[in-house]
Amino acid sequence: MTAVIRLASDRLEWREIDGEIVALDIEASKYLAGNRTAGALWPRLAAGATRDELLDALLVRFDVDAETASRDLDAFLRSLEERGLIER
Amino acid sequence: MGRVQARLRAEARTLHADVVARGVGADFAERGIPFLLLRGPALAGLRRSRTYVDVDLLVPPSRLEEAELALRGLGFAPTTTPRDFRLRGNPHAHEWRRHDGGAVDLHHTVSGAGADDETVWRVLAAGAETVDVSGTELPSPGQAATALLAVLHAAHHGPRIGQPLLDLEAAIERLRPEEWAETVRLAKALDAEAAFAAGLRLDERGAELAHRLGLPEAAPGDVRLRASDVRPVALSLLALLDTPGLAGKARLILHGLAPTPAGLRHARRLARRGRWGLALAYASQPLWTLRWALGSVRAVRRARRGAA
Repeated sequence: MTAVIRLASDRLEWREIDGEIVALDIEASKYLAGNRTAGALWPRLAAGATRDELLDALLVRFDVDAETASRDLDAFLRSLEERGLIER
Repeated sequence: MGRVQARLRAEARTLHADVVARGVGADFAERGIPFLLLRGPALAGLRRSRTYVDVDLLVPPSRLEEAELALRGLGFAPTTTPRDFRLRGNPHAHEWRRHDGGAVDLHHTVSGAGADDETVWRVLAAGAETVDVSGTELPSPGQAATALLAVLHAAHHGPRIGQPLLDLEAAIERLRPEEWAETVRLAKALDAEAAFAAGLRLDERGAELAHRLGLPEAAPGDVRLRASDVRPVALSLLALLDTPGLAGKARLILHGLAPTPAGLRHARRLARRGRWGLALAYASQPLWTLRWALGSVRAVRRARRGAA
């Protein structure tokens, strides 16, 4: 998976608070809160990363098997995509 | 709501306030309207974990109307009118809100300042620096002025509101003696020494500092009342006593018993709970006023006795 995924930076403001993420969807005027998993992925998504790079980041950071990490990552990316918050 | 969730929610609101500050700041800059960002991010320099929900902007009095027009252009509308403040003394700012929840307090002066608006602007703008607001530099008063504003804000809200007291404590903790000397100079220039002293005295170490700085003990009645454990209508009662003539007093009483919806929402939490809350607040306003007025008599007497 080599396609670069990145946050839709023009409609998102975010900051990291103690490893968790707080984000504001400016267009929808909605707050989003992300847990530590999101905290590990978010800066990479802001810079732009492939799915494999994101998966590696989860495997390095958390004690989790590849299958679970892959499933969680896809669910997370899907939820962002449904809100129009990532670009591929 | 758990503590973590509450913390994240507060951070999200702060993020929103920063987005609003940057948007309004960029618009004002484009229109050539000078401004200073007060409190909020400016105070985060004194207290790192501070969160905030709105944006406080000071503009020169000569540009106030332009600033209001600019805010309207950005989708904001004022939540109060001058009439809403008739019983609570001259306001130092008016709140503007937008449908997305963005809020701006547009200041023409600062609380506790006796100097005219032009002088307030000139004094604070003279020492302006910039402050980082989520990656954008916006103009704000310098460190000494920011500490002064923290103290004046505490004096304005008294001992019952937590955040200004924490800001006051942080200012007392962080500022060096030479910076306090500068703060005193600024307080004198703004004719805000009485409120400055009253604010410092809300904190035990601040009271010692006020003594060391030689600040005045006496203060006008409204300054003393605000810095005391003030009852909601005590300031109105003081305004009533200070208003000359029966006709003037009658107008104030009428306004107190039947304020505007915006004024009522500003003063009473019940009135902010939808249409029924507002209706109930109107229905109970005479009794509510009477109850708090009776409880405020002693505080008002004390404030008037101790006034300069």
